[in-house]
Amino acid sequence: MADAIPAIQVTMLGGTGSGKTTYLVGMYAHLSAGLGNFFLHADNRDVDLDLASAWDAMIEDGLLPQPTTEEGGLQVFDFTFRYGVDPLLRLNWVDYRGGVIRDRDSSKQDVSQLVARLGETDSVYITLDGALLADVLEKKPAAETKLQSAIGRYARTLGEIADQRDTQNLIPPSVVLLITKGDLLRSLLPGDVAQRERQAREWAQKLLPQVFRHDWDVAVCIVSIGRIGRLTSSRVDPGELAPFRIDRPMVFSLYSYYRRAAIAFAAIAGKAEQETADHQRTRDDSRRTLLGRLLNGKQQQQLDARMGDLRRYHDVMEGLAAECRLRCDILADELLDTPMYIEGAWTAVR
Amino acid sequence: MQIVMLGHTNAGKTSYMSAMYRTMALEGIGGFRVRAKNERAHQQLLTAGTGLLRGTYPAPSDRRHEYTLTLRHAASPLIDFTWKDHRGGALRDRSTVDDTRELLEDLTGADAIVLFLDSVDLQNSEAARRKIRNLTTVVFQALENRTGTTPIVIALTKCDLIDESRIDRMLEPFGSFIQAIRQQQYVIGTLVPMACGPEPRNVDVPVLFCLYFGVRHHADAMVANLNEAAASARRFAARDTAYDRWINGRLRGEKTNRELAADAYLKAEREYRRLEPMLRPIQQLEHLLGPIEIF
Repeated sequence: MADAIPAIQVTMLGGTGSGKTTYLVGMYAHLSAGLGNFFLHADNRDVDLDLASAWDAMIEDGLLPQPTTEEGGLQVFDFTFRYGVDPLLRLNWVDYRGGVIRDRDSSKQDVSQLVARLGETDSVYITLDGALLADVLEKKPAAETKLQSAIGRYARTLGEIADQRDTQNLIPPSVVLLITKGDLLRSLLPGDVAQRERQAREWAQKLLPQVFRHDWDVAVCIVSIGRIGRLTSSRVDPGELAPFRIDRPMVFSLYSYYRRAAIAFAAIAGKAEQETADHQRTRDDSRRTLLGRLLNGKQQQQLDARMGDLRRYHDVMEGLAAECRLRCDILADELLDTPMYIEGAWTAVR
Repeated sequence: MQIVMLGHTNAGKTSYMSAMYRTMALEGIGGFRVRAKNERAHQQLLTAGTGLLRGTYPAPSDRRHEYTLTLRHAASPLIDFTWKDHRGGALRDRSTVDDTRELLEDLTGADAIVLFLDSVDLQNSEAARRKIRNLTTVVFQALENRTGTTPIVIALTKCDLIDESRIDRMLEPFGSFIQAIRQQQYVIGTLVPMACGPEPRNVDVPVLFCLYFGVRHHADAMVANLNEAAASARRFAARDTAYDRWINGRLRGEKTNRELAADAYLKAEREYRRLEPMLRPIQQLEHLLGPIEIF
């Protein structure tokens, strides 16, 4: 049943021209065609057509998609993530207009929407413009200041999310540090892939220390849509388009969702088990004497019924936890090359 | 049974319909024949099919066509089915366009789907390989929440014009889709390289593959009815007592368990009489389709 499929929210943030929309178009083209057995499909056919047409325009004519503008407001997409034919999750994806996070004027509609949205989102994508990072590496004037200014805004927003979630006793969202235009960094960051990743991890931790907390799942994903260099116009050479790891952020969001769901279901199962044990003790105590057996018959029956319910509930929760762990394992196969910060440490999932 | 053809413009859907009809209506395969219910459609399809043998290809569909047909085995009708052909461009139009909306609705209600891929295009064009995504996306949505078996045929058309040793490579963009179908309990797929021109090849396979599941579904339903009726009959027969016959039957005038058992046996017998003519054709279809690889 469609209603039984869990739904998650993904919120994408980033400065104007950081490549959010291009990333979304590329990611959709990639995942809708299938990654192993995983597929992402827009629920609305016209959205599917629009995203696919935008990708075709890139691949065939080198035309980059138009960035999200203030006039266009936020863009909302409803996707279904499938394993094979079966739907696994419904995904509500919001792409905020470039630079919305800079506006502290809450009278602007999408700024207030963003604040509300961040309060309940399951995964946040912080888009860092790879061109800006490249400028910093090349020691271009004012690049460091621009970067710190952009990062400062994210840090403040993420701090607000953390406080809001803490107050409401909610699990924090997973965070993807999405570094776009990764092709620009490849030549500037020295060493092999592993060394570059290590450097990116250190960089991310230095730039956004607020995110690297024990209870937050974080991934650093350097992506690119090809070897297209610095953009000087809205056209690129289609021959140079070769998407690089653009599926990883989405796979990580789902991995983190299932990882935490598995923990939550296991915790509920553990609680049910504990409660059953408590009831069992109460029952055993009440039957210790003959008088107790005679007088507490009704209470014992109620306890038996309650324990039966709890055992069934425990089994259901254990089953759900196992299902989530299984999905985690499948998703983990796609994340072997992705630096992830989980439970307070950088981790290789396998 | 509803069978829907899906494919981009010039993928060969309309040609296939004509070639399949000519072969299945005039020659038949293993005693199986197809016949249109409407005489005009019968004549049109035959004319177009005969034209194909001379190398005259029908114009692509500019709108939705629906043909109501019957599969026969020898003289007996086995199953009625509707074959739906859509304008190829409907796949690339927005859902507000009428025939795109109809296509999506037809797919949701389809009992079988035949995907048409132009093998020449696939061999020569990266864009054609990318367009596979448009097909699979709508098929995934149509398959969601199904509980009955849905056959899916990937019909690779114009195979007489390509180097067939390259088919596997051409189908690489289909890999994830095929893998997904393979893992889905309720969907069974097959790949059929075909030619619909002067030397038709494998044109009978897509239609017979789809219809096998339709016939089988009917037969399974009859077997279930038969078993249920037989079980009822046994239940009533076990409750047949002298008390029931005398008190409930004679004095109260109600139907006795013995009579109810006889009714249920009659129902079971009727079901068996409906089922029996289907058994041999099903076996024959299984024999005909046996060599076909499924996923």
